[in-house]
Amino acid sequence: MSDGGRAFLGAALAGAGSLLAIFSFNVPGMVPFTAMGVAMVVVGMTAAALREPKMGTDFEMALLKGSMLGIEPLLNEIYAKRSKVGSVSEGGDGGTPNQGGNSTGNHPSAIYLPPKGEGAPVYVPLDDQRPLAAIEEMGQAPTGLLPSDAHQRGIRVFSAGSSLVGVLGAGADESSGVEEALRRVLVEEARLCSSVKAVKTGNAIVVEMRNARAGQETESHKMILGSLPTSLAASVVATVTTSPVAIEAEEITLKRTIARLSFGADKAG
Amino acid sequence: MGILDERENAFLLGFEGFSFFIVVSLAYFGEERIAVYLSGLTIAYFSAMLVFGVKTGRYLNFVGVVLLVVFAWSVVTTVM
Repeated sequence: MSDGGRAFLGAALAGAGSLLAIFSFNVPGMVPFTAMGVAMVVVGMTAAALREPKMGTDFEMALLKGSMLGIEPLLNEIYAKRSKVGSVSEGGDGGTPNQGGNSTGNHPSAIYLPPKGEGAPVYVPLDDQRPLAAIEEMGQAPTGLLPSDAHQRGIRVFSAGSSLVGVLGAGADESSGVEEALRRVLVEEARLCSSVKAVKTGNAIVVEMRNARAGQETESHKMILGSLPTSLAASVVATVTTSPVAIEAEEITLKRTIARLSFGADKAG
Repeated sequence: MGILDERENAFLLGFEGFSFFIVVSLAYFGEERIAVYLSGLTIAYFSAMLVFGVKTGRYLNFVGVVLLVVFAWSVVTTVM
């Protein structure tokens, strides 16, 4: 339901309830109807007063997009390299649209690392070797591209959600709930979607975001780190669970975005 | 589930059902004191808010404050 619709219906219900309450209050033996009128007023006023789950303003979106600009040249370079390798080895186009994180050639998906020190970085593998580097190695990977002869396995980048640990609290405990943290960040603060649900299945979490504002990110961001809402969701899950998280799959439709995030991504190989 | 996917909508529906149940139950048992109904509504309101975990307003829940004042008034008038 749209926010304006909810407020209008709430006001109408409160108006009808107050009429019922005032009318029945003056008639003997109509106390239940008076109470029903009061209940309608309370429900109506509550509906009108509920916090509106508005989507983010252009200003908020501009700030979020600005936070991605710093890593964009780096991601473009990695994406170009991967596409080149992909097209040589597979003859492919380096992945299909609407699938983030794991779809550039044979490369393993980016891994959202748990927060440590300055924030929660994202490890982007540069080669297609498996198993992946150990989590300690990922956490110490360089933050820039080294010369091609340096045999660099991966790179550490700081995404838009890297500093969420400062908001969610250091070592944000899992007991408060992944879904609650996702809701706080994605719905209430960043306002990137109207609602979010998270279901844990084995060593993965399936996150469903309604009316997510995808399409704000560049192609390279989408292919390497996933769409902006999914990238933020992965950062939140990595922060709350203090476990490395990879975006296994991402499905974006007009009404909803579904992302499958796997835990223990450093061991997944 | 569509409309119930948003927690606020689920809260409104839950609170509405709860209020209706309370009013009908009290009417069935022949309760004639409005203060009892209002107390029941107040409890239903805060219970539903806790169960569904919704927030109204950024700083102050005006509806909650009004209900609390009415609840306090009904308790005071009943006791005195």
